[in-house]
Amino acid sequence: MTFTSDTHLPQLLSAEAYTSHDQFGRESTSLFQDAWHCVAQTRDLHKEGAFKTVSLLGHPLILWRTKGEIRCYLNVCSHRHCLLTGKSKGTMPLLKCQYHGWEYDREGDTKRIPDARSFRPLAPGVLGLRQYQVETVGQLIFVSLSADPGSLDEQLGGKRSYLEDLFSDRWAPLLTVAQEVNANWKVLAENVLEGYHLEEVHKNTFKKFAPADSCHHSLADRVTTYTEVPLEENRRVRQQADFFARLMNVRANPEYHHVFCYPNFAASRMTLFNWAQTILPVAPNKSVSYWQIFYLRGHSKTPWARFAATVIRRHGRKFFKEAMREDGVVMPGVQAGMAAKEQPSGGLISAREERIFHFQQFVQQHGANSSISDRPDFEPPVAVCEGGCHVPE
Amino acid sequence: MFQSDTHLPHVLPPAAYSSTEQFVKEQEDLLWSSWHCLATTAEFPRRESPETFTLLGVPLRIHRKGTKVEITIDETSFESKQRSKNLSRIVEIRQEHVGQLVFVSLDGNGPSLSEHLGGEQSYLESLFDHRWAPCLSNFRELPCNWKLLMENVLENYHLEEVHTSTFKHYPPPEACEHSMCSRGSAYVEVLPPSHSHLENNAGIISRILNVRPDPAYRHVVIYPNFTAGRMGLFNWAHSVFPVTPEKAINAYWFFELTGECRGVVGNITKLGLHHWGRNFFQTLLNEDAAVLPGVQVGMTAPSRPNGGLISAREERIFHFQNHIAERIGVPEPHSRKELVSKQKWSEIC
Repeated sequence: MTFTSDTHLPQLLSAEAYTSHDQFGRESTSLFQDAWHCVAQTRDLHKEGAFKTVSLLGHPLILWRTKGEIRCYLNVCSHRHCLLTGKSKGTMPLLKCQYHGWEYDREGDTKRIPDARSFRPLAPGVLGLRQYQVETVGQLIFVSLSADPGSLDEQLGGKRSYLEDLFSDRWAPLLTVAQEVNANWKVLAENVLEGYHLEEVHKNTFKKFAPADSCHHSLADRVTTYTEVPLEENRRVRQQADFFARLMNVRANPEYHHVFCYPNFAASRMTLFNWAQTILPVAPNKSVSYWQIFYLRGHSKTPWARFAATVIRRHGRKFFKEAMREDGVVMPGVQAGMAAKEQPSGGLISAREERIFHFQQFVQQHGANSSISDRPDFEPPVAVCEGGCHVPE
Repeated sequence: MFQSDTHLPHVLPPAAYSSTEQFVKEQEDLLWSSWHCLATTAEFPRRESPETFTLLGVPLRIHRKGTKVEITIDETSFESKQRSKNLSRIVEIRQEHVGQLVFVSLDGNGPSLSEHLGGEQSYLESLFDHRWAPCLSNFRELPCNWKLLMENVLENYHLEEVHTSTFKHYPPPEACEHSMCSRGSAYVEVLPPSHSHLENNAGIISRILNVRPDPAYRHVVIYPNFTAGRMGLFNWAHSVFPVTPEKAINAYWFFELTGECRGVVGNITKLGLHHWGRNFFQTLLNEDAAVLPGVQVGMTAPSRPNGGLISAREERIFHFQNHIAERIGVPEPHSRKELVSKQKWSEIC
């Protein structure tokens, strides 16, 4: 096992691609408008009438379970455009506006208008909530803002069944975090597409990146994956995970596996945990990383199993919060470097980071490109060098 | 009853509630030449230290001078250096009192206060005369465009949903009367005696205090940003001050009728009324503040639901929006053609 590329690669996107408002606008339209976005999990809406509100690319949305089905509407009343509700979650038998009490049924049509005679004449079907399409993958809920979105299967690049299994009921929710980061969304995406930063950034959590021969990348059209076989030096950690897994009567997979489905969804599995990550742009220099972390639910109900589950949950929360904090400290610095008036010479991507190159290619190909070759001072990268270029240690 | 017998369209597009260009135009062409109720004399009884307030980017200093409250530019303020553009426009700061209310205008060449208030000046003089004592004053900055705060007080349709602990219900159309003119609009509500618990208590208190409150609820708005209301033993003045396109200050001054009765019973009654009033109006303001930011978020969302309309009960909002549109225009993508013209409004009236 090793990387797909045996040389370093050039940066395809210029620094402006991470700071420019024009680029941000183009990406919003060409990459995000028609895409599916994972914004919640079914557990958030497990009761009839339960709702959850989310902001997706500036659109206030309300997800609502009605007659066993999950629906998504714009959380804006068609009367005076107030948010139907300002609460993040709750239960409503009918969607009701907090301002004037207008009620909407499961189709988004007005069900009750207080003092309706003041609104005469009202033609049927003229007023109503804007509805959006919803799909579920395991416990994950995906929403698209487009009236005619592409296929979710296609966006997940053949990984749907894998993700269905990865986020099945065998996994229990551990932690949900909406992490706001002062960095362009691509900085966040590129951060999770490489393990090269682990040694410097994740000193309290992951600590080390794996040697090249235990890593495997696969690069498909819309999806890249990273698989890491168990390392000998991590044997102690693996043994501990196996011990707790046995107590809980489950089987932990020792392989680390990470999937990134373009443009903004990532999912990963690591022994007793897995997680989904959706990266949502807010502004050219601001993004939200929406993390949903799960742990393997045990079959056993013994006191030992409960004890093990408690330890796993506690350890998991602590570990992932720290890992997020570590990333959160560094990424604004990456953004500030990108926004600097002058850039250093060079700028290159290692073979270990080749998934970033592939991601940048995707961004370029989908019409949202602000290519580095557009820059007047651009010089093509040095020809591919056999036997190793001079890359500073 | 209402003047319109049909629903009405929104005249201002959502962009009018967030656009910086619109905000600048409103400040320069609408609010700069206007008079603004900024304080009450009751707030400055013997106060030595002045208050400061930034009105349309101009830092002001409010302090007592003799029997009057005086407003001057706060030269020492750091902001005064930053906002030199607005400061340089000031020829003279004019100020006048209407009852206990202190009005200020930054435009030395603008209309006089009596021209601004029109026929409502004498009404406001009596509404805020010495018979009324301060009950509560409240300045609250909300993340909303200033027009949303105005529109909120121009309709009672939201009472049942928002003011569930205070007003609770809106009256039937038969009890409501709207009147509108170029300077603003008024709303009068006359309900037949209901002999409710609240009404009986108000009657007892009025007899103890030896006062005769007007049974009708009356609310007036003087465009662009001043309103006043009267309700039984209380009245209030209300100003809205824009801060940014998506931020404004809601300023309220509530008063209670003092009455002439003295003695233990009179004083206890006054005290009880004062506390009840403070509690009631504070709750009322909190109820509005809980909802209004949601209106701004919904209004500025990138997508729109179907519809968007104003009921006949909310027709004063339509009149207000028309006033803004005629004075300022509306931002794209709406064009003037899409506006409901003055002619149509007169047809509706």
